[in-house]
Amino acid sequence: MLNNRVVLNIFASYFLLHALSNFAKAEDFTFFESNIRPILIEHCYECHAEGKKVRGGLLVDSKAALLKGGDTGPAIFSGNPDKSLLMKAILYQDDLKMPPKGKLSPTAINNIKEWIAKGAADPRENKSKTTTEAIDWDKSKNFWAFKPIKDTKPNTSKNTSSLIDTFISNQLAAKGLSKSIQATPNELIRRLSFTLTGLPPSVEDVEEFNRDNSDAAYSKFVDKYLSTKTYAEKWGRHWLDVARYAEDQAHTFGVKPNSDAYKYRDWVIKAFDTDMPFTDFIRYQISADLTPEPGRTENLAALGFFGLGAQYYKNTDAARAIADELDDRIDTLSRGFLGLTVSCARCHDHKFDPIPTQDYYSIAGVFHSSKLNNTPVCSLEELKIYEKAKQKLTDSENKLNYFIHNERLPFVEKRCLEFEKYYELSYQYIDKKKSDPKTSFNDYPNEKVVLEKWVKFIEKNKGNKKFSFFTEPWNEIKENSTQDQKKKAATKAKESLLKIIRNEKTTATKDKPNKNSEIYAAFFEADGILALGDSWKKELNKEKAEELKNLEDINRELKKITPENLPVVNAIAESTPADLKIYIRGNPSKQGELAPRRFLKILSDDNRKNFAKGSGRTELADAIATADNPLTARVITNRIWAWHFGKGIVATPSNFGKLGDAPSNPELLDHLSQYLINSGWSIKSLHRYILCSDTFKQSSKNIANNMNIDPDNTYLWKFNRKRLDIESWRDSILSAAGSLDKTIGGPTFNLSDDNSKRRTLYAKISRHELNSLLRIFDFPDPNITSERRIETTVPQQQLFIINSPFVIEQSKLLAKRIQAYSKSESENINAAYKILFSRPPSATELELAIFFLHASEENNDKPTNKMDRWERMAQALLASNEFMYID
Amino acid sequence: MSLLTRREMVNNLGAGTGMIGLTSLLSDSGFLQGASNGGGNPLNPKEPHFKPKAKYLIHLFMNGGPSQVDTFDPKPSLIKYNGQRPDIANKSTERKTGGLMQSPFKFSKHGKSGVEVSEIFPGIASCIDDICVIRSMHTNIPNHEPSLLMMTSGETQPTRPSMGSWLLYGLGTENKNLPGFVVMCPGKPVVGPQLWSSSFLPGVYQGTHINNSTMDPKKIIQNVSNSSLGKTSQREMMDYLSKINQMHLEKRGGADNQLETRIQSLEMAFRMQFEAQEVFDLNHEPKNIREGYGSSPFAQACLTARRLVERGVRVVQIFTGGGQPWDNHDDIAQHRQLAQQTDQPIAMLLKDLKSKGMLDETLVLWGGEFGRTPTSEGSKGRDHNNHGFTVWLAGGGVKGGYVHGASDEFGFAAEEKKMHVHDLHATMLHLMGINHEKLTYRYSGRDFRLTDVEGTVHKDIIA
Repeated sequence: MLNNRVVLNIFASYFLLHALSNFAKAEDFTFFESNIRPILIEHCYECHAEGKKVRGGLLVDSKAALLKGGDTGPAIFSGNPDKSLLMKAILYQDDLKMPPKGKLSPTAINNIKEWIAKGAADPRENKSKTTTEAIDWDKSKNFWAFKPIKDTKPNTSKNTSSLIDTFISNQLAAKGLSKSIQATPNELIRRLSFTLTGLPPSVEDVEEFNRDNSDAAYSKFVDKYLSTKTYAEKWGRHWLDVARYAEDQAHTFGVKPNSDAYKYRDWVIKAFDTDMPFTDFIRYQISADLTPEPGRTENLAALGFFGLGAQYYKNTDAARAIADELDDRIDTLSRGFLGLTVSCARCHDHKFDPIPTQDYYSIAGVFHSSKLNNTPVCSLEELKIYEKAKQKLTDSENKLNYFIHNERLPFVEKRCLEFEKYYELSYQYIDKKKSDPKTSFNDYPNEKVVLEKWVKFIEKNKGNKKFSFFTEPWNEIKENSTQDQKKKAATKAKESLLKIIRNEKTTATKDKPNKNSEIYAAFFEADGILALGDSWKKELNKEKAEELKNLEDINRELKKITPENLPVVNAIAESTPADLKIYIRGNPSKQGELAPRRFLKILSDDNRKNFAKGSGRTELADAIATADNPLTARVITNRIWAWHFGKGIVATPSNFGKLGDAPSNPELLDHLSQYLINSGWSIKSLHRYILCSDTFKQSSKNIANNMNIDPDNTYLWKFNRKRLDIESWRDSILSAAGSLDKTIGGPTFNLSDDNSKRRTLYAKISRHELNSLLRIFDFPDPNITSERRIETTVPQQQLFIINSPFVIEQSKLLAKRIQAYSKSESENINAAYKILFSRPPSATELELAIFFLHASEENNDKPTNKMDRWERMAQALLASNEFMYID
Repeated sequence: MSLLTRREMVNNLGAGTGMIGLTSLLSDSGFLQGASNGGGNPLNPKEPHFKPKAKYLIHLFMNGGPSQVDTFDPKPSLIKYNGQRPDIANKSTERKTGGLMQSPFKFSKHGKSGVEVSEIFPGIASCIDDICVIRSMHTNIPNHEPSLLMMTSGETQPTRPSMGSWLLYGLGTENKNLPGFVVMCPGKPVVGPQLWSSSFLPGVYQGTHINNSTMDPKKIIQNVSNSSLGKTSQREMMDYLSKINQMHLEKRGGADNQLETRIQSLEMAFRMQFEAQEVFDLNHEPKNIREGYGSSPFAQACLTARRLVERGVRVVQIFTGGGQPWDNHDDIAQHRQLAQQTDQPIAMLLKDLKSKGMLDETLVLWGGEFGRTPTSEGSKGRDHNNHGFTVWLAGGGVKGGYVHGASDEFGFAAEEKKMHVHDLHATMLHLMGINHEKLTYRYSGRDFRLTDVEGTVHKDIIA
């Protein structure tokens, strides 16, 4: 063991080397080594040293680092403890309290204070590394996703029907994989119908395709399905996953559900139906309100993309909640359209992709300059006209009210003549009832009706502060008070009431007369205790009566022609345009450098301009909805591919960054993206191109040799068997049972209602409590944008199939439907297989079914069984794998 | 003429599921891939990072926020300075509070350890030697919603998976016939379903909420019972279904993870019907045990929790009641009534677990979303307090009869060995064999975890 002396000697020689440069005396270093360094090591290094998870950007393991400080500035000022943040933190004076686990001992605090005061001598000369590394822009531009789309022509030695197949075949050959044969006509028509419409093909379609399954016949079916509304419903729903569509918020504190949310859903459906160019589809969702007519009004609902976005708790730390909301917009925008995780740059520069924090706040500024808004669905001109009409109506209402308040008052005063009488009588009754429960209103034959009203009114409003002017005078007088005192109390209550009513008149002006107050209503409206109603109007003189009638007529007419509210959509609108400053480490209360509103640097050319038009949404939309942006076309193309094949060419459809997967066939992705651009961004054209390829038509059967080389089918040597999503599966059950309600669009229905027969996409989608059927069948959490459906198989799903009243009911309907075909059992079973599986049963299947239909019934179950054997068979078929998985 | 006799059919089908080889694709790295292929049950048990102390968690959620200085953190100084307002009491909470207010309850030492407990918890006090009291808890915000979310999901906004979901994701569950994460609350607590949400984790990890105001075993889990077919007839239908599925599978080459998993899953569902109904039927318990717990919804929930954990359910969370029962702004003396409702069942739960030898591997957490002020609100109440509060842990490898950390002189703020909710989460995960920094899920380009970028394991509390 070293003794102190030796230690000191070592220190001394060490110090000699540094003493001159530091102007520190050896004893200062000794002080540091014995009193300061141990504290720093024990209490601070865990979070503030090189190689640890560094907090607040602060290192305390070198002299330079302490002087440089962290996010909030230098940690120490040599010689000035009071100015040093480190002191403030260890004294637990402000918000920053260090170390977080508990205050240091008073001795330790004093030592640190003394050390700083004496100049903070510190022998730890190693250089403090910067915690972030600068982005290498040139290198970043070379990453595949940021490179321009390049439509290369493949080597076409092979005889393939489309370039898609050439790209795929070339790759398969290179990997030693063989292509699959074409799926059977039954499989193919079924696959096509499901992928485009989310519903099984009709029995007639299957038969027709079996008669002629030529390429021409096939492509006719592609066109047929693309032209159905069911296509738009199915594909609209795909997009709604990305748009994290929902009608409410995760919490219910101070937020209202968006009752017009469905209009966004319907807009999306319509956009797919009409094959809206994808660039327009983007533009409207970002800035429909800022686009010219025609176009603006009919597409305002598109703004639901942001207008239905998350709203968070703002009861405490509202700044943080607002920042979280901006993050929701940025995340949905950037992952949704660009496949970029810009949100990762919220607290620090993106660790993997070329997105500096400043870029994050540049986009955040755009949304900070916009606000949630319920926007009327009409043109700006129409809105002006409406607002004028509305003003006219308000003016006329004001005039009428002013007249009423003036002319009515004498009648109100007159109506109060009996006030004291009933006031006293009511309290008398109440007191009497207390001592003698037999007391009844019948004891007061002349006053019975009015008295009952008064007593009920008093009892109802006993504790109501609004009516204390009325109840207090009575409460103030003691029991056994004189008649006179009682009378005075009654008069006091009456005068207080009249004072309020008179005041309502006198404070009224012609422009803004008071409406009938709650107090007026409680006393004088038709069912009030001093009901006056409209009776006074009959007692006006002729002149006044005519004036009133005139005012009322005008008012009535205006009301008739001016709707109270215009229909609105839950949208966003312009707010005050302003740039944000960077929030250091995402903390809104620590702001840094300004972040001008502009587009991402990596996707801009060298002269990136700041956004200048209002919030900047138009310019943001321009920067995304263009063929110049290499990501936009690639990302939507890949999504469409993934929705058809169950897996994208890029397997992470919302992350094209470094942490995402690289494209399995980059040339194919670029070829398809260019195809989309060349078609005028027509999604339907891209569908046609993909669906008519041999690649899509492949069988889903396994090939042993291929399985060894590429078990995940990355290179598409077969078609991926797909499980139906919950929407398609439930819709198909309804469709098979013949009970599907095909109504398109409109307000939502409740999915937990077993009698609902509409397509599942029209169900209410809640962020607060997602419907359990949707949840157990892997519907994505609508709080966040979803790139794909995760697929799980759990028993709760199967409980729905074997036990739910919904499935049992549909099984019964299906049984009825198939039995109606014929008198022959075999014919009926045949019909069932054709409806459900688009094919006839095999001999074994037929026999198995007949066997099941005729098996003897278990005696013990006879009383409980409420399904006949046809119904049970129907349920088993609906529950089968073949009905759920598409080859 | 029949190709198949009934006998053959039954024979084939009875053995059917046994013939199917299932490959579990649930290694850490393989999960997503497996899930997207539909292969394997994502709830299968998984290996923890290291040998766990606890295998199951029961969270007794005292929603509304019980007061520390009236329950497990006695402060004699409150008596001495009753009514005064020293500087230390000038802390911002939700509402304005007055001077310090002494507890209406008496404290006394219990057990061999001599840990002090309020008189309102005689039952829990009798178990104090198995309990680790943490008096240095703190959280971010003195409002219910953000703090409920912080306690259940480690984040103040409704954007993250709950702790139960994380545990289920990380560890799976040992009983495939029951939900792995069960939440019992008569009605719903404030905030509601987000408290047991799986958020961006797959939906199968979501808590199953059971409204235990009435315990009807047939209705407790959705669609758990069939009212249209007797058991034998349903089995017969399932056998027919299974045969159809087998033929479908064989036609497709016979080895397909996706299709086999669903066949297996249908069989599980069939068994679940009976096991799930059985577990919620408390009549299977001996009378003395039922009476030991009591008959209130909370008591029944505690007994059900034991039955669930006994059968391998990973996480059970019990809320004191709908809304926020412990939120005694008006009169802190109402804590007595709330304690009375919960004390006996909790004590019985601890004793019952212990006598069955289950306490060692079951971690029990008692506590609210925050504490209450030592200063008065109105004349007799206490306001929310995020600066300091008390929770306790029992079983699952924690030190019994031990007090961890301390609050300041008046119990307003945590002072020694401060433990943020993130630290509590990190420590609980540690007890369950999980390194909280390694239990991650990639979403939106980032690896998320329960403790975000925070959390320190407090090893002092581990036995």
